[in-house]
Parts: sequence; C-alpha cells; structure tokens
Amino acid sequence: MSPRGVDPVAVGGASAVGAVLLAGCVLAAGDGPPYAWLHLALVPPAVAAAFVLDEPAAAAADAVPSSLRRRTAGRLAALSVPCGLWTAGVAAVAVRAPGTAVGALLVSAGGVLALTLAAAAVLRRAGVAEPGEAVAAGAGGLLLATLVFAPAAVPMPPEGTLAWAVAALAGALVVTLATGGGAWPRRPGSPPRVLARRRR
Amino acid sequence: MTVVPTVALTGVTKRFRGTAALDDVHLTLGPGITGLLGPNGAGKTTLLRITATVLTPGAGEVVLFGTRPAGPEQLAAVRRRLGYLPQEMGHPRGFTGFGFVDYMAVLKEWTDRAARHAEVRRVLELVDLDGVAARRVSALSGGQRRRLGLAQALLGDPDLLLLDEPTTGVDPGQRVTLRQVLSRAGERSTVLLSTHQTEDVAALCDRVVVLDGGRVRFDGAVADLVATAAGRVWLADAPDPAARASWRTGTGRHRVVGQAAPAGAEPAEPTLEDAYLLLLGERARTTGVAA
Amino acid sequence: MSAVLARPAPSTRGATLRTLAAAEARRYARSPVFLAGVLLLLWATATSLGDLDDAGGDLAVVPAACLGLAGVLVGHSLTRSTSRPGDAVRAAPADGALRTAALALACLVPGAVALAWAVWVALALAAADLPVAIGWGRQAGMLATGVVAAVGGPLVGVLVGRWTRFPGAGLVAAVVLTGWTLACTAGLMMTATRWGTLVHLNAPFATWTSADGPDAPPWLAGGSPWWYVAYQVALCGLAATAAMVHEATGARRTRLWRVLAVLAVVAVGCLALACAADPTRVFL
Ligand SMILES: Nc1ncnc2c1ncn2[C@@H]1O[C@H](COP(=O)(O)OP(=O)(O)OP(=O)(O)O)[C@@H](O)[C@H]1O
Ligand SMILES: [Mg+2]
Repeated sequence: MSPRGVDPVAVGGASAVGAVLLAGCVLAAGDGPPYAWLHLALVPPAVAAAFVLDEPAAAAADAVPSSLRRRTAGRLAALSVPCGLWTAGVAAVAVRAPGTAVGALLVSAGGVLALTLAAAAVLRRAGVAEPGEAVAAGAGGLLLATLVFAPAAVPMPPEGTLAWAVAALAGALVVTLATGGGAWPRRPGSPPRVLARRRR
Repeated sequence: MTVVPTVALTGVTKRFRGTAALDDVHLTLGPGITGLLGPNGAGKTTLLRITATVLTPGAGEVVLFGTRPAGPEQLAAVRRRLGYLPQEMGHPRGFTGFGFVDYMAVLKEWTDRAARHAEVRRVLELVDLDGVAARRVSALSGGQRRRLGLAQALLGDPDLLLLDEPTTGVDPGQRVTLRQVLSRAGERSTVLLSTHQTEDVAALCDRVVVLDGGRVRFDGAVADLVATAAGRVWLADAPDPAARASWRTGTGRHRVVGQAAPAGAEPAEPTLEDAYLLLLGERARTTGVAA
Repeated sequence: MSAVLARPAPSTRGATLRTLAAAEARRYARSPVFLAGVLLLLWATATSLGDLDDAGGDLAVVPAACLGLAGVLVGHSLTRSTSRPGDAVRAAPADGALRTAALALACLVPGAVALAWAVWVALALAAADLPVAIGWGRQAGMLATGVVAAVGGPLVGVLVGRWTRFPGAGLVAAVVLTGWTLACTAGLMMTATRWGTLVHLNAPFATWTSADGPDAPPWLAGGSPWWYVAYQVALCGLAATAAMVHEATGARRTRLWRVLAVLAVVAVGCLALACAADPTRVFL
C-alpha cells in the first residue's frame, strides 16, 4: 500500500503551514495550553485530509480491478505526515505546558480528520472525482468559523473527548462503507454484492 | 501592391528543456484554409500556441498582420483579430454554455451587452449548440464541449482562426456542419487547422503543411502531396510485410502503400492519408526507426 | 444561419474592465460561500445587537470573518476558475493584468455589503441611545476596519489564486491570516506602550477592546483607528497590485513593481502613524 496518486503539493503544502502553526503553538505554550492556536493548527491537516482522495483520473482508475477501498487505504498513508506532525507538535506543547490534555487533543484531531475523510469519501462514492476543494472549504471553513464565532460550539479539549471519539469512529465507519461494495461505480441493475456472492 | 501575409514565421525555434518542439520553422500564411498534419509530438500545438501569441518562441521571428507584436498594445491589437481553439481546454465552474461563450466575448472586448448577446447566439447557432446553450458546461457531452470551444474561437469572425484538433470527438454529421462553417470562414480569413483527420484536410484545405520532429516536412497544395503517392498504392490479394503499410479492407482485398507493387496487385487511387504515410515512412527509414 | 454581425468597435481598456468587472462581480455575488457568509453576518449581527452593552464593542470582527475570511476562499476559487480555459483566455485581447484588475474590483461586492452593515450598526447604536464612551469618530473608525477587511480577504484570495497552483491554497491563506491576527492580539497583553501598539496593530485585522481579567472592566486599546484603516487600505492595494504583477509583462510590469514599492512605503507610514498616537488605554 502506498500513497501513490496523492497530490504531494496539497499534502506537503498543508503540512508545511501546519508545522509553522504548531511551532507557533509551542512558542505560545509558555502561558498554558494554547487551545485556540491548536484549534487553528488543526485546519491544515484537515485540508490535507480533504485532498487525499482526489483522483483526477477517476474515470480510468475506477475501472481497474483493485477495489476503491484498497486504493483508499493506500492513499491514507499520505496522512501519516500531517498526523505525525500533529502528534509531535502536541507532545512538544505538553512538554512546555504540563497541563495540556494530550489524549483529548489527539482524539479530537482524529475526529476532525475522520469526518473530513468521510465527507470526501461520500462525494467520491457519489461520482465526484475531485471532492477535495469543496470538502476543504467546508471543513476548514467550519473550523475557522467556530474558532472566531463560537469557540464553545466545537468542544475542543479538554472537554468533548468522548464526542470526538464517537465522531472519529463514525467517520471511519462512513469511509469504510462509502469505499466498499463491489464494482465502482455499481452498475445500475447489477445485484448488490452480497446477493451476487450468494448466487455463485 | 504587395499583399501582407497574415502569418509570417521565420526561423521559429522552441525548446522545452532540451527537446526541440519546433526547429527552424519557416511558414507564411494568407487567406484560405491550411491543414497542419504531423505525428504526435511533432510540434503542431507548439506552432499554434506561438502563432496565437500565448507562447514566445525561443528564436526566430513571428510577424502577424504585418507587425511583430511586442508591447501589450500591439499584442492586444493582434489578439483582437484572432480566434484560437486550444487542444485542451478547461471550463470555468458553474457556467452555462451561453455564459461561458458570453464570458469569452467580454474578454474579446464585446462591451455592448445587446451586440454581445446577439453575437454569442450567432456563434452558438453556427456550431449547432443553440438548443443546449442553457445547460451547464459540465453537463454537456465531450463533443458538445468541443463545439463550444469552437464557438468561442469564432466570436467576431476573426481574420486569423487557429484550430487545434477541432473535430476530436465530434460526430460525423456535426463534422460536416463544421466543414461548412470553416469553408465559409476560409473564404475571407486565414484558417490554420491542426488535425489528425486527413479526410478533413482533404475535404477543406487547399494547402497542407506536414510537421515532423519540429521541422516542416512538406508545405504545398494538397493535390501535390497526394500526387507524391501516385503509383505507390495498390489493391492486392495478400498483405505485404515489406510495404510501408498494408491492411485488409472491407471488401476483403488488401490496400498496400509502399514503394514496390506486390505480385498480382492492381493500382489504386491514392488518398492524402496514403501520401502522408509515405512521407513519414521515408523519415522513419532515413532515421533508422522501424516504420 | 444568421448573417455575420459587425465586429465590436475596439473598446477602450476602461470599458472592457468595467464590463469584465461587472461579470466577475455577478459571479462573486452568486458564490455559495459568499452567500453563506452574508447569512452568518446577518445572524451574528442580529444576535449581538440584541444585547448591546458597552459602545458596540468589537462588532467589526463579524464582517471581517463572515465576508473577509470567507472571501479569501471566494476570491481564490473565482481566480482559479477563470484561468481554467487556459490558452483560450490567454489569447484574448483582455490581458492577464486586466483580468486580475477585474477580479480585484469584484472584491468590492463584499465591501459594499460590509458598508451597508456598518451603516446598519451605526444606526442601531445611535437608536439604542447608549453612551458612546469611545466617541463617534473612533467608533466609526472601528467599524471601518471591518469594511476594509471584507475587501482585503477576497483580494488575498485573488493574490494567492494568481501565484499558486495548489487548490487548497485559499484555505491555507485564510489560516495564515487568522494566525497573523491571533498572534497580534499578544499586543493587547503587553503594557500600553507604542511598541505594544505596534505588535497589536500590524495585523490585517485588529480588535480594539480587551480586559485585564474575566471580571476586570473592559478597556479600549491605544493607537489611531483611522490611521490603522489607512494601513489596511494600503495592504489591500498591495495584495491587488501583487496579484496583477503576476501576468503583467514589459513596461507595465515594471510600473506595477514601482506601485508595489510605493504602497509598501505608504503601508509602513500609515502603520507608524497609527502606532504613534497615544498608546494609553481608555477604560469603558
Ligand atoms: N509545456 C511543455 N513542456 C515540455 N515539453 C513540451 C511542452 N509542450 C510540448 N512539449 C514537447 O514538445 C513536443 C511537441 O509537442 P506538441 O504538443 O507541439 O506536439 P503536437 O504535434 O501537438 O502533438 P499531438 O498530435 O499529440 O497533439 C513534444 O515532444 C512535447 O513533449
Ligand atoms: Mg497537439
């Protein structure tokens, strides 16, 4: 499994900006955990996640024997870069600000990424070859809007760990469901995969 | 009185990271339709892009309408008289067919709304898209999108029309319609038509230019190019492995294009395609590439 | 088939720019992100006007976020979308600098909405009969910062759309602008000196009220709001000019570089004047 096909500029660019913001978080951590900054630093990984499923050559790629779920799993490897940066950044913040809710921050990042991926996977399932731009605008816009207007609406750490854990699981489930299921796109009129298998 | 040619290219050369896309091309074009043939990667698109002022040549001189466009004003003056259909063309998101051509008309300085809309309707009618003009571009078929691209190139009935494979993906009926449109345009304008469809060139053009490896391999009347194949095309009962090309036709006989007549063959009327194959086949042999 | 129509009389650059800008403005006004931003603006303003207490506070943050920050995305996607036809657009007589100028003018659409918003808020403040402790001149200046930010955000979007090819660049630019703005609030935590004002006011958008603690009385930061607005306008000019430089050629490009240098000096000058004003805080 490899992240082949993922736009390196999208993931790399977003990761670079994310790294700068995380560095800012570490600097700001002198006066306690900088949750607002961490909220902002979550946007670039979300952008990277939104673009990971983009497949400009979807018309050709969706006709290959390798299943979409398999190809998606390969692409997710690209997210190891922003996820690794996030983990390292949170750890560095925790060193400077000992009260930081490390677990909650990791879980909430997982939730944000899983929900973003879920949106992209659903659009991809619906036949949109490059859902990245729309999903990035939606996810990033929501994160920015809540940061500015309603910091309380999105339960950022230390509260809301449970909610984010549920969101992460739900997102992962949606990604699994949306990328599964036989031929892609399912030919109209062909029986669902379960039935087809039983008949054989 | 000397007639100023619409396009005059002298020694035009263009390199992309070492590969020569165009190599010392000399070309003069006046009113009429000129076909531009050549294998993939021959430099046709590069030639059209340079002529359309969107790419600057590495060396050589490009004179359009008697001027060498240098400053922004001269460029704009040339572009006002130019229509260009690129080989690959994206479309802005969310536009309808009409909206897209209307947008291009604004870029072509049609500032009066009523006149612009009338012109947009005219070109859409020319390419037979008036029925689907209200649809989103993303909802049009590939061939319809190609014709939409052609419609924007025809805006304002330009003096120089540069078309890069306009008939790709267009159905036979529409291709004939487009031939009518282009032949009418060719009566007063200079049309340079890059294509892989030799039938289109044979049907429309009085002159043909064959590019190969960035160089002009042939420049002359279509009839002259066809004449080079006279006596080198046959109908035979069996394929000829030694020929430049031979294939089984629908009648069951084999069309053989080559230098020597196979045994028992009878001569056939050469087409532009045969002549083109022979012309490039000679190149293949002289450069040692298997034909 | 209809007859061939007369070709357009060669229009002036100005006429083409006006027509093109009107077309881009219509596209801007129809953008879903912009429309969502306007709805959010109306909702956020209506709820905050309901419980006005002290002099309107920092209401300007509402248009700055709803129209400015969202506008980064709109400006970016409009710019990218108009470049999609590629060579066909490049071969048109309206050159790249003119097309960018038209996009920049379309960014006045959110500015107009923000201006209407500012008038609405000013009227509401006047009607509420609150003692405007800040004074109307300062209050108007603070509202104006939101109006300029509503134009500046989209301009940054156009700038990023012209100079980058990465589709998520608009959002990343929005994050950078937010980060810059957030970082500058550090100036509000410093002591009230001119240096503190400089840290506070170099942001593309600044809030003016703060407090020393949750229960402490709110105060208004020092510095001159109107010179700060002038600084913001200069930043807008910088963004628009830098976007136009990308496709300009020859003498026009040289001229634009010069304009850019002048605007940079003007921006620094305005910022210096904004910070030179009395840095003491006014308790409300
Ligand atoms: N932007 C570019 N960057 C690098 N190389 C290029 C570029 N454009 C063209 N080339 C190279 O220049 C040569 C000529 O390309 P060009 O597109 O002009 O060919 P063409 O005759 O139009 O081919 P086709 O029939 O396939 O359209 C090719 O070898 C191509 O690889
Ligand atoms: Mg080509």
